Amino acid sequence: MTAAPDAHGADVETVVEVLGGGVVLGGRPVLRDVDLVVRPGEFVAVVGANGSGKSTLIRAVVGLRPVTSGSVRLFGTDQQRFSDWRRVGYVPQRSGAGSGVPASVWEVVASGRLVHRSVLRPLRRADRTAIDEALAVVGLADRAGDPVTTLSGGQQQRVLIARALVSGPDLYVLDEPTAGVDAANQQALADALGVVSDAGATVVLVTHELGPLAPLVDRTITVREGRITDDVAGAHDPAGGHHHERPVRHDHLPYLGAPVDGLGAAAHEHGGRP
Amino acid sequence: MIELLSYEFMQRALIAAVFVGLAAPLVGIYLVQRRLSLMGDGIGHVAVTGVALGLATGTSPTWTAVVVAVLGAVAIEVIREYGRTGGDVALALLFYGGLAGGVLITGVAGESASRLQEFLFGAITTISVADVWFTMVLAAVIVVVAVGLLPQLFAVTHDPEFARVAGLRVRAYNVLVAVMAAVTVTVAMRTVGLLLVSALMIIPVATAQQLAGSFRRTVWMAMVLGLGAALGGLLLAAYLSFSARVAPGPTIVLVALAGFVVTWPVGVWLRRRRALRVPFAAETLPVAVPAGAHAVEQHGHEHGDGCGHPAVEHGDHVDYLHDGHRHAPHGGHYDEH
Repeated sequence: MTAAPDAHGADVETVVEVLGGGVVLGGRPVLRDVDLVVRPGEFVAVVGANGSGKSTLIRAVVGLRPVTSGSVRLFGTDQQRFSDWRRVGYVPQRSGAGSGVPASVWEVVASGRLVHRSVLRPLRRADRTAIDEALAVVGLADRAGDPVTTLSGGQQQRVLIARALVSGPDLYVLDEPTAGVDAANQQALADALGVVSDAGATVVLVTHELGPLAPLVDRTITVREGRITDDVAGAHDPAGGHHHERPVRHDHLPYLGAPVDGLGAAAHEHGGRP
Repeated sequence: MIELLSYEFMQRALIAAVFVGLAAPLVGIYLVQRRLSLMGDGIGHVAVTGVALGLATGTSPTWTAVVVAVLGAVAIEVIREYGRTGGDVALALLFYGGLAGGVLITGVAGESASRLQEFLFGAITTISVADVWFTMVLAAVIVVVAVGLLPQLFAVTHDPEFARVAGLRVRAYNVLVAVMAAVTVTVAMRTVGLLLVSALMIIPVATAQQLAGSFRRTVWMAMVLGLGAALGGLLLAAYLSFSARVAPGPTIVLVALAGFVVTWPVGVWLRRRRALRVPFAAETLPVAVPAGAHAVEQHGHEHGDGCGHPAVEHGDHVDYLHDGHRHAPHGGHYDEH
């Protein structure tokens, strides 16, 4: 799948290409002059503290938050004109509350298959096979008929991964896939992403803790105050491998730090994670 | 009772009730999923102006209502999309502007308030043959569109951001839902009335989601419940009208509401039973716990889904309640949180 010819017959050298990308929200620059090139087959982790702009960066890549300056290209095509959405599998940040209208695990995963279905075309056997396979990869085949709301947060995250998997994309874009997910489910997520990565897919994910994903990561990009401050090979976990030398907080209030917290070398060791 | 059914006005009313009962909840489910349960009510208010314009100009109030309701629905959607802050205030302006305008125009045109009341609270038994055709055709169109586009509409209303990255035209589908809601409002106004129309769109959905476990099942259940409420309410009103003045519109809504009241305890029980399968059921959290780390050996298992220990989402990770402690899996052991 790497360097596969695209629809126009030319070799695709970049999957994602952001040049001088900037995003301004309400007059405040959230992303400033960002350059990011992701090549086929790469597994890229974008790390940074809350509010650093890392989520905005990948939202700009998929077009949910179009850049106000610079350019974004997907598979060599300008993002605004890109239409081959079956090549992109997006996993949004898991939202807490639903609307209350029930939806089964199978139905949510099946909605990922819509990129292959024109309007009014019923599900074909290939669609059903793809849905079953995606559920099997994330280990939720036995929960297909259950309402999504009866699953734990980690399992719900795996459903969202399956929804992206089911369209067989070349590029996976994931926003905080491990947030609020317990260790066993983080491992299940990592296993599923390992499967797609081994199959040659490109993965770009935003996280503030790599955890079990670390062995998969080819490249770590650190975003701080809207700029890419670090771009290194391999996994570079901002949470550090171990955080016991740090005083452990026992209250359960949200972590409120001064702006200077997390600056300097300490940030690389344990920044962000309360 | 049987002889009631031999009246032609009753047959027309029954046909209208069947079509409205099936179509209204089908559109309502998308409104509920988009958290716009009151949108139908708002469109109903705007449609009052449409009815009044029809009465004042001597044209069919049904058609003027359709036009004004669709314009109002699109306006609501545009305001929602671009209004951001103050969007609900703008909606309120539209709602009350529509209602006040309708009442004013009716008065100026010299029509009586009781004529307007037919549209406000429904007058299913005075429905004409032309109106029955109008109801049947438009309701059938709504059912075909809403069922045919079910996968797309489900994706767009369930997770708009994902739908956008999947290449679906989210804005166009949102406008489509709004237009379908407007058409449903005008189709149902002769049956339950503009002020109660939203009830027939929303209550069957609220009832169905107590029991159903999937979107598709919610759709079918809501349609059956809507049909049951419309037919049951109409027949009940007709039966009771031998002894008292019972209006069909409010009876239909109250029958639908009764269905919800009956199923609500069942829904509570179902949800509790399902929740037992999930670890996120902690009622009480231990207050202060001493710091320290348990060794893994003390557990005999790894905390995870279905391990029996209540799980609590804690910031970016999950703690498991264990003998009054909060365990956060970390490396080969558990941190105390």
